Amino acid sequence: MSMKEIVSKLDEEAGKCIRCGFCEAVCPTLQAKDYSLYYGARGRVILANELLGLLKRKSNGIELNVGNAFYSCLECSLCHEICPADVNAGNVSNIAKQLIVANENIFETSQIVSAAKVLSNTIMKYKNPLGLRREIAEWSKELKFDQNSDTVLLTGHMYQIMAYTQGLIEFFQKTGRYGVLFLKISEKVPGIVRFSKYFVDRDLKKRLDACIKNVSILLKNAGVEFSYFGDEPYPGTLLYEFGYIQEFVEYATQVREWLKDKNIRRIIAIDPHTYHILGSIYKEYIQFDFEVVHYLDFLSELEFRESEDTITYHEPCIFTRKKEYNLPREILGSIANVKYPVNSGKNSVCCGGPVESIFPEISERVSSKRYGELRNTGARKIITACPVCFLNLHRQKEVLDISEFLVDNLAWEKANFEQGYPVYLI
Amino acid sequence: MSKDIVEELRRIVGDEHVITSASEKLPYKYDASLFAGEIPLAVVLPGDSNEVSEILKVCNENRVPVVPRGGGTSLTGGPVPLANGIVLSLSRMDRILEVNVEDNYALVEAGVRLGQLNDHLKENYGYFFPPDPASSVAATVGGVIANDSSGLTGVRYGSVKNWVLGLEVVLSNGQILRFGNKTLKYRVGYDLTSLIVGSEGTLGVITKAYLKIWPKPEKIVRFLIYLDEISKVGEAIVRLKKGRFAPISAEFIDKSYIDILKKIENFEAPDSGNYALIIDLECTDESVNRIVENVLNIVNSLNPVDVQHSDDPVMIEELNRIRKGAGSVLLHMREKSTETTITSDIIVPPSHLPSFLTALKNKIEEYKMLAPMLGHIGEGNIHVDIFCDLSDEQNLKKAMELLHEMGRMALEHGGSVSAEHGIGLEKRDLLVEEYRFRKSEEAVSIMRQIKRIFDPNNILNPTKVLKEP
Ligand SMILES: Cc1cc2nc3c(=O)[nH]c(=O)nc-3n(C[C@H](O)[C@H](O)[C@H](O)COP(=O)(O)OP(=O)(O)OC[C@H]3O[C@@H](n4cnc5c(N)ncnc54)[C@H](O)[C@@H]3O)c2cc1C
Ligand code: SF4
Ligand code: SF4
Repeated sequence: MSMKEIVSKLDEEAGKCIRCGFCEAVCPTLQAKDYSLYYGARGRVILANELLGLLKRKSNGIELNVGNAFYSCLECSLCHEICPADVNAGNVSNIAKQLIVANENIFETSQIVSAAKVLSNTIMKYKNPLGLRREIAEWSKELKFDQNSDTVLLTGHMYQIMAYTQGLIEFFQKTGRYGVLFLKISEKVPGIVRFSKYFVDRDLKKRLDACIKNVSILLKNAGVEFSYFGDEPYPGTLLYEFGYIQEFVEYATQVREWLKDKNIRRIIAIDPHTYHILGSIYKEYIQFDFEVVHYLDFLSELEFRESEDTITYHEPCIFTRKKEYNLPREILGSIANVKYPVNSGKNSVCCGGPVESIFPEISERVSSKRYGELRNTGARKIITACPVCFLNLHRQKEVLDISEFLVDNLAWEKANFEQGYPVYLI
Repeated sequence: MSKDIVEELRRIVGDEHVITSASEKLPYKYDASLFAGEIPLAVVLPGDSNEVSEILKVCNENRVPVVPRGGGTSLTGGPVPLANGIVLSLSRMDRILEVNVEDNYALVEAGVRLGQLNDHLKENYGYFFPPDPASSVAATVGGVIANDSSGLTGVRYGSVKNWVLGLEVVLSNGQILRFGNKTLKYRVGYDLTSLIVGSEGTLGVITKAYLKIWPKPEKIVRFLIYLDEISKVGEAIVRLKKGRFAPISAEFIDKSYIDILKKIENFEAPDSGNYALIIDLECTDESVNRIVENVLNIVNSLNPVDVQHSDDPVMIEELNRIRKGAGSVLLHMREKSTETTITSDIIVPPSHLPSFLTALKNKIEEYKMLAPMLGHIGEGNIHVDIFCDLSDEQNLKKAMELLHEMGRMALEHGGSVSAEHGIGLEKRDLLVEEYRFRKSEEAVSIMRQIKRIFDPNNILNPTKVLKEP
């Protein structure tokens, strides 16, 4: 996308703002940063408009330091729900990041922008943000797949990555200035990032791998044939989220070719981020004719035991606001008594996860507040349907992934075992 | 020197609550009006009244201007900053300290947003704080008191001043004083509580308030009435009042608004409806049918284009959301991004509405400007949103002229230049003009003297409301 196109996209989105301030009442990062408007929805839109003004007037040496404002945005779109002028400050942040990346030379670069750059370099080189390879497919070791099927399960690496991020963040937080050094070296030598694998939380990895296994169990039991390949690519979500659009397009094209090579027609995503990027965003940038579905789409025929528990469900922002995907609500509602928190449905509040790698303190405050809202329902179990939400809320205290809850409540008495899976007889 | 002051402020509230980087201060330049302030010396976010007091002492000693800021939703430039001053943001002081339904009050900090307060009151007590500005989701208790706001329920419940029992106020010298009380009546000397209400941050900083709260109406029935002529809008209000109806809310929007809401919000309306009236009446399960019948009789006497009614709370809430966002949706009519609207805030006695609205429509046509109208028509409060291009000085001047002209017309009809948005930077000349019109210019000089008593060094929101101290 050309610079001119980015500018006009930003102008179109941010230019609609009338600065009414409604969005500040809901923006989770504003509260998490003790109400510094720079970290809030209206502030971001004001800064974007200021940036556009400056760019019109001069083309180099922009002194406005806007990196943190835009990179701290969760892109949760809650502001969009309330904005009477139809502005999405999340989109504004996303486009502004593209502008920053496309004009690296004229913006003050902050540490955050360097961190984003390191991650993007690593993704381009290793097809994974942390340079993980073997670790991605470990969950599938004892399982068999229908490798000739034209339906593929793409994990998007999301469940797997989550077992490493906490350790890495703690490392950065503890090392402080060494963290900056690490970033500097990583910019030149992306390979250094592969040390990430030593930051693994083994128990968490086991649990998250089991979640992906659960998905396979559920799909098999629903009679779905699908393939899985251990060298599956990461879908490039962070390239898009960090504003590396040129790289994203190049990367997405490689993913498409990989899928074509494997004669794939249909993709089963297992997390909201992968479901969204492949199902909606890819199409905006490249020709992408694959059918993208979510694994929960296949479970309508399965029989679950009615749970005695009262549960609450934390709805991922992507499901409620970007994809309007409410199937998890329906499925959970058919099994258990679900109590929703004060902010739910379209007003559901983000878990804070999307900025966890670069603004852990914001992430922590957002997730702790959200966790409180979920606890206040009085429900015994908190269910999530996204690995990012899972990790962020899990740090507060106990939560369950929806796959865990569903497998737990399958009517196992009807199970037999096939291809390493317990297969439930319909 | 300014460095020392910033250090002092940091000592009071902690480093993390003083913002000094130019980029981080930039969003504070604006409120929801067309005024852009200067980049302030610092933005300070205190956590309690004592910190506010300490901050004011430092600023008063050093003659540093202090601009209080709540939700920053002002439409008149009230909270926009001054170059050498600080912005005092009350956002962190957002606790609901006590709710007492037996005594009909809630004690809250200034940074609590009205939406947050009403969610809490409605969900936990079945009570509410009745003044309901369209900006309620974001406007704060401190801001609505400082502006004496009202809004959609003004016709029934009046403005904020009717709902403030007592205040904690920090004076410019840092003294913390309590005016009024938590009792439903209070009659001890001059009414200093009322003096602070509507003072727009120029007399003191509001830190806490005892607000009067009320049980939620049992049931509401809403009428959506489409009319073809503007005079009928005024006539409908007059006839309803004569029929002894006291609506909770009576709003109107004109054709431009109807059309843009149809386009952006999928609002459904008949094509020939040039004006829509939205009227809420309180009722009970027993009385609803009788009220509907009587209202329909009155409204049908005006040959409306269409009338709908409903008591479905979901539908009522959805229409509220649309109405409250209407002013912002209007901006979709802009042809370029430098265009904005200046909002008039005139009010006339409702009995003047039929003739006044017609005169207003003619005036706008005479100016050949795009200026859609909406308003809290039940109390005669009309907002005309005049489109103007900030990059075109002539156009801006013409828009300001129209704003002033409309103010004068309101005065001639026995009304006022400002009903609820306050004076800020925008209506300072109109304020003087209104008192001159009433042959009461002395009132402005009394205001100046009051300002000097409260704020001898003129540090509290200087240049707002009154240009000169
Ligand atoms: C879309 C939209 C619709 C609106 N609809 C209405 C409406 O229907 N009715 C209506 O009356 N208004 C309306 N307004 C105007 C605005 O919302 C009100 O004026 C509101 O009272 C401002 O509250 P705030 O918290 O945002 O205050 P701010 O805008 O932050 O400040 C307003 C004034 O109060 C002062 N102030 C703020 N806090 C304090 C404090 N703690 N102590 C002392 N001074 C303080 C500021 O210095 C400033 O002068 C609307 C605004 C918008 C954008
Ligand atoms: S709610 Fe929309 S119009 Fe209002 S300030 Fe936020 S982005 Fe701008
Ligand atoms: S997308 Fe979310 S975090 Fe970003 S500005 Fe909007 S509400 Fe705030």
